[in-house]
Amino acid sequence: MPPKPTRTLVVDNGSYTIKAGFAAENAVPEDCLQVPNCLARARDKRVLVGQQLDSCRDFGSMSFRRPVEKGYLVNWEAEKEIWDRTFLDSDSKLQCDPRQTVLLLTEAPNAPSALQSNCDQMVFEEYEFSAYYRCVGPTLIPWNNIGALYTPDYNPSTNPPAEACLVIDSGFSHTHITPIINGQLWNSGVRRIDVGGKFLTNYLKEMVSLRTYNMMEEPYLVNQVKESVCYISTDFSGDLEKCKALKNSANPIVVDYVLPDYNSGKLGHQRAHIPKKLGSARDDEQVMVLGNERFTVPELLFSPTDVGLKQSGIPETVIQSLESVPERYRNLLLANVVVVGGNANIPGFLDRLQSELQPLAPSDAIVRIAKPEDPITYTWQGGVALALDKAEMKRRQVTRAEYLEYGTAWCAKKMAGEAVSGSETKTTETKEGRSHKKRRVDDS
Amino acid sequence: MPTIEVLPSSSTTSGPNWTYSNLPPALAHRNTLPVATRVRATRNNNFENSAARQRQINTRILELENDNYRDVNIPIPVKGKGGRSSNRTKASSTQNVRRILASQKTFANHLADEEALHPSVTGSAAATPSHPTSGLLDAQVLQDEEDAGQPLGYMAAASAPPTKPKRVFCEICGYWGKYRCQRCAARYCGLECGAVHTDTRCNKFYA
Repeated sequence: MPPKPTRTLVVDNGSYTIKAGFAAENAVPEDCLQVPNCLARARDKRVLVGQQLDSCRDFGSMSFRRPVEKGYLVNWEAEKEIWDRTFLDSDSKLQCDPRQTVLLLTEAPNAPSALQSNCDQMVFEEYEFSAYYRCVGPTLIPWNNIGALYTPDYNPSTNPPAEACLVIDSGFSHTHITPIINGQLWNSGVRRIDVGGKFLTNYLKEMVSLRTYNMMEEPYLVNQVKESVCYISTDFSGDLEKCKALKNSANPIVVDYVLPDYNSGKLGHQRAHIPKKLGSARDDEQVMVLGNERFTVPELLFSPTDVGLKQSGIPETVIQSLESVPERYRNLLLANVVVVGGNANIPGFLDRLQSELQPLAPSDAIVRIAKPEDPITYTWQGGVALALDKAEMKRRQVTRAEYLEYGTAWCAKKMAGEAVSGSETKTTETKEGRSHKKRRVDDS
Repeated sequence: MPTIEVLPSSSTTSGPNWTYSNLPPALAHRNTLPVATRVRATRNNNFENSAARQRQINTRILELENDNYRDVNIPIPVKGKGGRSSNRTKASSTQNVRRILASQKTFANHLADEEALHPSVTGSAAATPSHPTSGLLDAQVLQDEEDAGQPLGYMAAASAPPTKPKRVFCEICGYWGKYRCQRCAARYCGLECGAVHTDTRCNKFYA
């Protein structure tokens, strides 16, 4: 039997959702399947895995188990269950035969090497993918046409990856600032802020539990509230004064969130504030009034010290990161800032970042910040672009035969773009010292 | 003749030109009350910067990173009628796979292991940039030397503390926290929120 044509499965394995899909010409973001990366237990003790969560209607008191902890894939017992159902189940859209599939998988920067080798072993020994390339998520971004984010009809004169690009990846468990030069991660410039979507959700949960209803057991609901009402203020102290001085009824910032009713299946939604004494339209609805919570919560991204976390906000961290990058790249990076990840969808993010980053940047630098249309799947789209460049992909990937021949350490070395022996692909860009893994491999 | 003004306090009774004091004679002329010293001591103690306060903050930050409010253990659901196994021809898994699947390590465990294995990678020494020469040096030198460098490791990649002063907010309403509870160092914005705090949230019942 002739072997089926191999397809490439691009998987951006985030802590909140898995973004996965097959690489194809003219792939659109809609081709990307977003699977909740968790096991959830509902009130009635049912355990829902991954995609099953989409069919769930009752999110009351739901608890979660997430295999990806702080952005790193830690618990394979749970992850295997989710992957099995997503990639192997016959009724899944992404059903595939791993033996005929190439896997492109993302990880967070600075992953512990034990976790990386666990991942390699699971991919080759349990799933038996025919070939595999594991890379740091943000390095896929420059494979997109990022020029088009700044000027819509931009046509790149050079082939991807873009020469320099500063990716701000603000995801569920943390925010990473990653300078990428010539398609390669600039390791010494990677910085992390331990504020992500989960942190914000929990902060909001704490606040509303104190001020309105007790929501401590409702992380899912509070996450929805956060996504629908929170915004990043461009005039923080002004908005704070406004919330103090004005009455709720006269304050444009104050909104109501009508809580969902899981019994009748009504969904929660946001609406303009209606004062209580005017008589709320309906008696059967519960309303949560939100004022300064709307902007003090995402403010943590720009000022983590507000909760005592001793880290700088995004603009200062960008500057810290640039200080580790050779000077001639700094302005280039500042002119190509791309914001991805779920938090990029918070309204006002770009304006605030622009207004705070410009004064910190060198005076001759132009700061250009862009947010792709869909910041959540943008990394995945970059992965598709890389996967379609067959020659480049072939050069980077590790085949199963190579894994069985040379073992884990060799594979990790090759995927880090390190010179490896014994492979016909040992050619072009493998200069000395470009090691991601070199030292670790020599140690072992 | 010096005028002696006696300020009203709980332990003194005074009228025009006379005073009773229950203070010991040594303190009576100063009218310094033991109570007053204690209050001042409380006010001056640097609880905001103390190790105890730092522990409180760290606990709170850890809580903010939790997935669930209370500890839960969600087991993998039992597989029904082997729908998936039809896709799997392999009967048994390798030793590595069994080891990884059985591992109950958390990220903190892995991080500690990593630090023990490669102290130079995760230690603070790695925080110093690998190119101290970058700057206005000869571009050619840079060209030759530069590469993307080693990964910093998890610890060293954390963002550095900011230079801006810390802002404080009222714990009750979220407005600026101008005042501080003398008992527990919580911040509040005014009398109203202060009262709410003392009634409901003040968690330190002794000074």
